[in-house]
Amino acid sequence: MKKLNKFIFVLLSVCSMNAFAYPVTGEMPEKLKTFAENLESVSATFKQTKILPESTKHFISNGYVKFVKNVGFMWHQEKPSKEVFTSTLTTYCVNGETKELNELPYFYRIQSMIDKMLNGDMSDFLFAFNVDYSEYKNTWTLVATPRLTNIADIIQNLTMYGSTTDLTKVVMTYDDGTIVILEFNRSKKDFADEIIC
Amino acid sequence: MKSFVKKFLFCFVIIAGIIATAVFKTPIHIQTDLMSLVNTNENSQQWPTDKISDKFSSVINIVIESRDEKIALKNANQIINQLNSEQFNTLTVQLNNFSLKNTTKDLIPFKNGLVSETRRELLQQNKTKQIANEAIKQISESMMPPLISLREDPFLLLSDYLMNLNTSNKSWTLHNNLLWQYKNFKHYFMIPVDVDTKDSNATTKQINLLYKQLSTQNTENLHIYISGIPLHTAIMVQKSQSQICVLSFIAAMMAILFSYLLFRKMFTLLTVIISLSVGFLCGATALFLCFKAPHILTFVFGTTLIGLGIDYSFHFLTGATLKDKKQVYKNMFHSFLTTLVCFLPLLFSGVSLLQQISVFTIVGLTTIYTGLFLFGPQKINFKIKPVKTNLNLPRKTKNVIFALIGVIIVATLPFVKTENNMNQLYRPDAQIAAHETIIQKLNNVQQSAVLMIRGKTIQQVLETEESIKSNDTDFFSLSSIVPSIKKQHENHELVKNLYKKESKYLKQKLELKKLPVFEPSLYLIPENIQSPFLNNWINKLIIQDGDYVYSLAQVSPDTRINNANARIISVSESLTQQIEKYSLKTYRLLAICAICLLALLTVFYKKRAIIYLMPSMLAILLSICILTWAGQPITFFHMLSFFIVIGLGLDYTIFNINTNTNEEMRPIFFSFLTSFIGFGLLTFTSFLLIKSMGITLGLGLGLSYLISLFLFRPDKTK
Repeated sequence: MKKLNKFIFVLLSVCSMNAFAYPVTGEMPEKLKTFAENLESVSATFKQTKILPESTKHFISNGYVKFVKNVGFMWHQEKPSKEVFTSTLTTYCVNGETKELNELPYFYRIQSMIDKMLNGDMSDFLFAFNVDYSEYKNTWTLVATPRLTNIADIIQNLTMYGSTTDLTKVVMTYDDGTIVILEFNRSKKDFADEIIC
Repeated sequence: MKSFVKKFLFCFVIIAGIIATAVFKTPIHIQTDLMSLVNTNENSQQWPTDKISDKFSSVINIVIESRDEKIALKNANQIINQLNSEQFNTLTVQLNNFSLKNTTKDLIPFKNGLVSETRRELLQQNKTKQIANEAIKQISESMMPPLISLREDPFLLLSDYLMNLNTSNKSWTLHNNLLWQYKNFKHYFMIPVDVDTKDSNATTKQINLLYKQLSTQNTENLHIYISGIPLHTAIMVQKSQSQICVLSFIAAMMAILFSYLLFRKMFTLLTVIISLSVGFLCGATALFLCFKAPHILTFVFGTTLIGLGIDYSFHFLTGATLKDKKQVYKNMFHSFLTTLVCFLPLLFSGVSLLQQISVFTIVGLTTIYTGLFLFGPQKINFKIKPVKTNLNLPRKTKNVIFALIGVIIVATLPFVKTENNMNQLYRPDAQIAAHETIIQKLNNVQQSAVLMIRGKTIQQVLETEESIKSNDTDFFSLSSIVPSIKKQHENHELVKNLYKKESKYLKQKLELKKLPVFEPSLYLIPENIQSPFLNNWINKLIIQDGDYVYSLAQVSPDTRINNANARIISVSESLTQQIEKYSLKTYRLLAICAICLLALLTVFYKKRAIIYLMPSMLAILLSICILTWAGQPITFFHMLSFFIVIGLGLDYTIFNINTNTNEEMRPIFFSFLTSFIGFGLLTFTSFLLIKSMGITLGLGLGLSYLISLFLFRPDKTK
């Protein structure tokens, strides 16, 4: 029994060592890199769950999203109301009304930060966030905590879950206690919508 | 009066003046701001329009550009540390200590009065359900949390008010307490710096040092841009100062050389140097005693004194070499009086710069003239070489030249253009102009005018603003940040009604743990705002002047507002109007000058008076023609130079016409050459204004001398 306990202890230790989070300081971790390289064009359905500290209800909205690397993305919410948000490299549009991305500097900044990251360069992301990363089998988890005060004023942390092929979940914990969970399900067919404004 | 008493009185007045300046006027202040030349209030019927340019013209903007956020932020912080050091004590970084958390916290106690215009309209139309539904949609569907806790702001009224404030500055967003833009994949951080202009010397030095230091920090991935009126002033002043120093040195050396060549005696040099120095000292003393902060341009124009001083010194010394000095001294007296008459009307012009030039020249010139007669050598054993050439032109040739001059003037005058736009009178260096353009683009500056609203109290100003806005004229102003108490009270009642009607609906739809309850809040008064960020912002929008408080707002130049307590002012337009007004005054003064001179010359020379005035007048007209051919419009500063052309030109004419012997011709030529070279050298300065003065004086003096010598000097050989 003692031997079995020892074996289980060693096994758990080895397994959990694999899942241990470690801070990312420069190079992009291997599985995340593979995910970034694989992600060229993707269509997925999403489910957003919003939990407010003042409410007992979980607010759910859903729809689909389309992403094309180095082109932009489209966020198509179907329920509870129809909303379409499209972002290209220089413009964005809400329900068909086009505007310059320069007018939304924070969003523009985050988008170009993510674009850079998906092209293998994490430097901008690491400047804005402290990043802890862990891997287990084919999955990875990335916890980002803001380093800059203006971001830290709003968001506590951002956790992303993914595999070598997909981003499966994003959890955003805001400073006031609000939690927003985004879950993605890769769609087998490509959504026909074009990413243009 | 005995000579000793006269000398004592002369020295006493000078010493008393210097002591008075040292006691009452130190530290001395010299105004360097070009805008300060123009008193825009004059046009404005008691509206302090000059304060607008004060408010906007004492800021320098530094912009750091990089593709790498780290590099941009690091350098921005380094520049702030640099500016906060003792080395730059006249420059203060404007704080953007914005914290969303703190600003929100500061405003929550006043929440019911702070409602955005769109929400207020809905409340007034009793569309409470629409407000509740929009809040529910925003709260439940947005990826972002509410800006303010739902306990404090369940209908998102204060959040909406804050978001509206945030979008008022569309160009810049606050990022780590710095103004930030992310444009075309580049990061821009802007540091606005307040400039304290009290000690203009220190400010000039510090701004130039900063510009030099920042210019060296540019790399492939880092560009630093700097702009603002104080920068232009500082660079212009430093460049002009060093150039004028070099040119004044050359001019002084010329004066000494010509003085030696003329008299071949060392002590004559001393007479020239002392008379010029004492004249300049007395002129400056009078200037500091009469004016709070004389303008640097007065000293630039004041160099005229060197020309006039040299004239008197040379003629006085020439008189001392002659047996019969009566004619020379008489000519000197006439020339002195005519110059005084030329500069005296400027005293009554009501234009500060003209008054300063008048005081400086009159006092300096009187000192030189009186000093020479009191202390100058009465007899010099030296014979000046006579001019050997016959300077008289044949009558026919003279007539042809006169006709030619007439044709040129008549043919050119219709094409003369004038320019009163201040921007056209100054052209910055290419690099600074490029920086200015980049920063203007980032600031999204479009042509705008300033709307000034006045009231005895801030509340009156706020109410006037609100009544103007209620007539469909929208603009961002003080009342966009703080509504009047009257409006806050109305908002209070409207919000109370919203809670009464929609609290239960909101609780039910959002499944809130507690029912939203209306809690009375305080009234926000601009004077009592705690948030340093909002205070800073409000201070930029208010001016206190006399019994009135004024608010400032930027509006489109074609905005029309019909309210006795509101006025739309275009700063550049009012500057142009004012310069136009000064130009008109200067035209009149030139005419008055000509009439006064003609009257005085009639007393001296009876019917021949007009002959004495003609060379200067023809020289001015021909100079205008030449400038027109060169494509240069006539500006206010050209006109100022014409006073000097008349003053000095008349001297040449009086001496050229009245001198009987050829010995006396040489000093006239040397004194002309000194002034011509001294002023002509100003043509080579980089500052457009001084350059145009150099060109005008070079042309005017050259033509005055040549015309008086070759066309108006009677044939003395007959």
